[in-house]
Amino acid sequence: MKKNMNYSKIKRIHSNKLLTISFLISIASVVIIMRIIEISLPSKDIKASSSNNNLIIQSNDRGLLLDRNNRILASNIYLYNLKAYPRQIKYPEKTFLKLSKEINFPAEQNVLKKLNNKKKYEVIISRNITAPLAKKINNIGIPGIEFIPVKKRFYPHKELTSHYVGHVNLEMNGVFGAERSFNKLLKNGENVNLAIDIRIQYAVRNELKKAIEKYKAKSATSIIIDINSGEILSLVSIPDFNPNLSIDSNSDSYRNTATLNLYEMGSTFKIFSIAAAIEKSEINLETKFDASKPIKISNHLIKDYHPQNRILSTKEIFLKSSNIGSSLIALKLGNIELKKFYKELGLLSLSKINLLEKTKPIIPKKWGEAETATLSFGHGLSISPIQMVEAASILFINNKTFVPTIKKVKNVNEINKTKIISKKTNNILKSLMYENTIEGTAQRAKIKGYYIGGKTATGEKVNDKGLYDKTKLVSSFLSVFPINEPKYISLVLFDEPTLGLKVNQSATGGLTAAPVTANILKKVLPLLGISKNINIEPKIIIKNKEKINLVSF
Amino acid sequence: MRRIFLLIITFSLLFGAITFLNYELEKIDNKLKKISIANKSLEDELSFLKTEWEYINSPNNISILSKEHFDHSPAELMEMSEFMQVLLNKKK
Repeated sequence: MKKNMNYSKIKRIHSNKLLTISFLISIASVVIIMRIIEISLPSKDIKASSSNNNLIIQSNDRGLLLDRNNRILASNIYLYNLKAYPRQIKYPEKTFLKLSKEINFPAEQNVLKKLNNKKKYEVIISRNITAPLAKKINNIGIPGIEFIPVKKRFYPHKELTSHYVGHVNLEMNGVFGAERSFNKLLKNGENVNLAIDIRIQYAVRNELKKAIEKYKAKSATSIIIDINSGEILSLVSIPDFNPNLSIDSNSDSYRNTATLNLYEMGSTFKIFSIAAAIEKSEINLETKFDASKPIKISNHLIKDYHPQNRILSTKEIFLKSSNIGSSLIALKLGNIELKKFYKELGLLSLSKINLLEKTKPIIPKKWGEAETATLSFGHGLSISPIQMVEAASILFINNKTFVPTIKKVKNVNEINKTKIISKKTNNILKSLMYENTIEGTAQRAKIKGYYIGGKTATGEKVNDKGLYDKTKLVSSFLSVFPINEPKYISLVLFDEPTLGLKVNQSATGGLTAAPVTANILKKVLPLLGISKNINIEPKIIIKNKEKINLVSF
Repeated sequence: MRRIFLLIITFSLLFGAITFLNYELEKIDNKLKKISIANKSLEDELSFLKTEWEYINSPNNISILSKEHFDHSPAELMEMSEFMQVLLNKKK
């Protein structure tokens, strides 16, 4: 009996043990299977969305565009579109009243009609609402409405930087200006510092706006460049546009006149032709040329705007801006040498600027005697304003490898400099430019206490009949400052300016662009850190690295 | 048999611990994601404020404000002689 009892006890203990073990094994199996299932499942999406807002984490926002002093030129902001679900709105009138207290709905939007339209599941009733306003409306708790976040590119300076900075399309791809040039970098989330100085840009645009109204010009263009680094500190093209609004790419305001418009520049070319002739030792400042009467080459009659009717020296040809004189200089130099020099200045090819909106120059097909003569004073070759600035920069900084850029330069490359002219020719050009503002055609650009050198130009546009039209001018002024040690070059250009019917004078570069340049420089020079000189009539001192050479005039 | 049981139990304990750790990790991961979202949201707000500040401080707006409230012309450099003349004229 006792043995039987012991057996049943042992059996019970064993069965309990077995039960515990089976229980443990089944739990372990469940854990193992669960773990296997968990491991075999695909990993969860890294992107997460919060219930509070629908913003998706995107590490690669488009990079910012900043000016040279880190001021924002283009940034990304989240705005909100207000969406309504008409079927969920019981009282559309009440909803409309509540909303219209916060949002100013234009009458033509017919918001109430949209809210009443039960056929539609959802409608957008307002766009581009700022975050604080969206939060305020959300807190009212109006049923049947929802805010949808949208990312936008915003340009805080609006028209001021339109042609320089450009804009993006709906897919956030740069399609114009710096946005286009640096699209790859910006898309990778990198911020780009541009060479522009927003303060200078404002000062220039402000003066150009006043001038374009005064002279009733078709367009106005201005470029200021740092010739040591090639940085374009300011580029203004008026008319301009607001990149925050919808853009009509066919309108005139969309066109960057500084890089896309081609003009026969006129007398500023005399700087280049005279430089070439002096460099090739064909002439010096005292060489005489007979400018007593117009000259005829082939079918071209070359005349002077202000005829001197006498023999002129090279210096006088520059200061009086004689077309006859410069033609004679070019003919003495020869077409091959002139063409070679223009080529070295980049006047016969596409600009090297890193803006993608640019045009090739229009070069004469035949380069004979007549072309050599007319090209010496800027007729017969159409270039863009940026090319003019580029060529002048190459000449005054005396470096063939000069490249203009819209991106801020961190380190100026002083090593790769290739001279285009001798130091002597360079000094002669500086003295001619300075003298031109003191007693030549550019006297209206003179600023008390500053060394400004410059050359005026007035080109005639070709009309529909293919003839030069005296009433349609392109007036410009190219300035170099401080001329004793050139650091900056500026170009101001007006397309078809007028002086009004009362004034019996043409709107030449000396009467339009030169005084506007003076007004611009008065504001810009202190920003560039160029100090005013105590001497009322400064004497120019040109430093020559090879030997000390003090030139005063 | 006992060895097999022990092995299974050890593994199950190990897997149990891993599952628990994984759960905890996921919790931390979710927290991190929430923080990232909050951070992104703050970054966006900051970017918006910076842009707004840039807009308010744009040279055009500053010029409008200065004209409205001060009507001052931009500062220009003056020579000492001119400065003295201004002072003398004022004294007169």
